[in-house]
Amino acid sequence: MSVAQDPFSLSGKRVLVTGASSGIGRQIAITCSQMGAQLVITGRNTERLEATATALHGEGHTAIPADLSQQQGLDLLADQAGALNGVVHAAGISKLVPFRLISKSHLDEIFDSNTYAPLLLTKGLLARKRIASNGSILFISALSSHSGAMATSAYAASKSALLGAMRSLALEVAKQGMRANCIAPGYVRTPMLDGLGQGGGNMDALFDLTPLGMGDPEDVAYASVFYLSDASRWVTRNYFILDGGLSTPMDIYA
Amino acid sequence: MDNIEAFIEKFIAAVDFQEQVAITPETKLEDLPEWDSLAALGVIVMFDMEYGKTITGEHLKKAATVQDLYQLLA
Repeated sequence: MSVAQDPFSLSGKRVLVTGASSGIGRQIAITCSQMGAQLVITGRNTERLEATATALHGEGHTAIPADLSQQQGLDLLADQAGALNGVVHAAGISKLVPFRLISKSHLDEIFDSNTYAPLLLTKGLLARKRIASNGSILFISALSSHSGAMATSAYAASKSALLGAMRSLALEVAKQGMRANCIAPGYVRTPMLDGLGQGGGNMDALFDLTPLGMGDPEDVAYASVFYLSDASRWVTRNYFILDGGLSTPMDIYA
Repeated sequence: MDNIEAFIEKFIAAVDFQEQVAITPETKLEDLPEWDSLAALGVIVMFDMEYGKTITGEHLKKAATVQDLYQLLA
């Protein structure tokens, strides 16, 4: 099968990936480039973003450093992104905080990055007509949005919020032939997870419960390729749990 | 930096003991009936919020007493 006929190929597609300086976002960018996409990558840390840029396959990629927790950063990115066939909102932060210690500033910090940034960036891109018809908008949510792991109230809430927003958005953009979906990964080997482990989380028990063990960023990247490619052209408003089998015994219905 | 009495007050608030306990610098963490992973996490967050100090679960494992915790502030 030639690349042009391969419905799973991203050849000829231009894809924006946020949070591309590390973890899941970084790997999504690299894998998309391997699948033939031209990338626009963004992240806060210029140095690490450049490191991702040099790891991309092929030519013609663009790196735009931006802080998406600020309106200025959102505007800058939406202005400079150019025409897109896909957007992956992979930027996010997490912090373990027991409920009794949550505060407005903690909630604001988590929601700014995990909820407001992806929604407002999507709005900015749509307003500027950056996303082509048949474009794919993909939000990286989290298994925690349903399972609500201990001390993750703000994080879980911020990721749950993406589900409702995505479903409503997908209805509104369907007439332009665009699709919107969420991927909800379970526990994946990333700097974020390392940070949670050092922050007092006990991860070992969870990995014992996962039939396929802990995931790698590649596992989320491969699923992202499907959601960005024409192979998923009939898939929208979908909430895709990707967790190595961890959540099956839980009562999880999106 | 707080003296140890002020630190102990913040420690008690962070763990959020349901049953009142007397705590001295010599109190051993493992002797506290309510010392569990959520309590430990509360202490980590308290260090961050009250003192701007990042400590890890590893630091906590090495601390036997409340005094040991206090010394993590240094």
